[in-house]
Amino acid sequence: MQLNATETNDVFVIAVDSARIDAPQAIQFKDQMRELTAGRTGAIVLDLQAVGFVDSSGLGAIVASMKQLAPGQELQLAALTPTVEKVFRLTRMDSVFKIHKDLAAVGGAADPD
Amino acid sequence: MHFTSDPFSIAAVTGQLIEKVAVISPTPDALANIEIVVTEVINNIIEHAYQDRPDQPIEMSARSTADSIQFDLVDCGRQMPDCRLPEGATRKLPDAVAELPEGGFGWHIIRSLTENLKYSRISGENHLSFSVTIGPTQSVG
Repeated sequence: MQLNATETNDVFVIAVDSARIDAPQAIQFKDQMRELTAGRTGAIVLDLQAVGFVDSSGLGAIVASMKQLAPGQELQLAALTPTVEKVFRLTRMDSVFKIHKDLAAVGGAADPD
Repeated sequence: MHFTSDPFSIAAVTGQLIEKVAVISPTPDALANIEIVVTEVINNIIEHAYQDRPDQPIEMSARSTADSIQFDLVDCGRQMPDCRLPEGATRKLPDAVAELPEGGFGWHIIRSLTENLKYSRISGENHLSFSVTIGPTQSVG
């Protein structure tokens, strides 16, 4: 589970460099998110363009990552692939997160390169 | 397909399954449904039937019908509580972030994407069967 954090134009982006967020990886994901988000303020955008699949454990880990944020922090999502978007929609979690179509749609236009 | 209760091997198992199913050219949406459902079902077998014990046997068969794939899974783990499938009812999500659920989504997802879901306990084995519609007239889940 590789997470890469960058800050561009005041947008803090955490890119998930893993094809799946699922049961075997859920705990690692949560722990790494906790480390990377500690001490930040404002919006944190989770870039999921590389993630082709999230199961219910992975979804739970993403929700847990949001719950472990401090007041003043907000977890947003970007670039959900079709199967991932479907899991969010089926569980209605797509109404809980602010979801950007892609990184370019995030205010400040973080360059995905 | 025969495999064991190893969470790390689920991706390979569903990958093989998707390859086999792809030969009958279902829609991408149908393939996504299959991958989602089969992953959740196997997760449940590993976590609940086998209580995360490794190296336990799971058997899965899949056969195509006119407009669906029919799945049958067998394991010899613990039986379902009350010998019944969980409802997986739709929950209204709480407004407060701190109260959002982090789990329990699996059965709702499974029930949303399958038909003819059946469970039985036979001679110390759990038998779960369901079908996933793959025809072009499938309604969006």
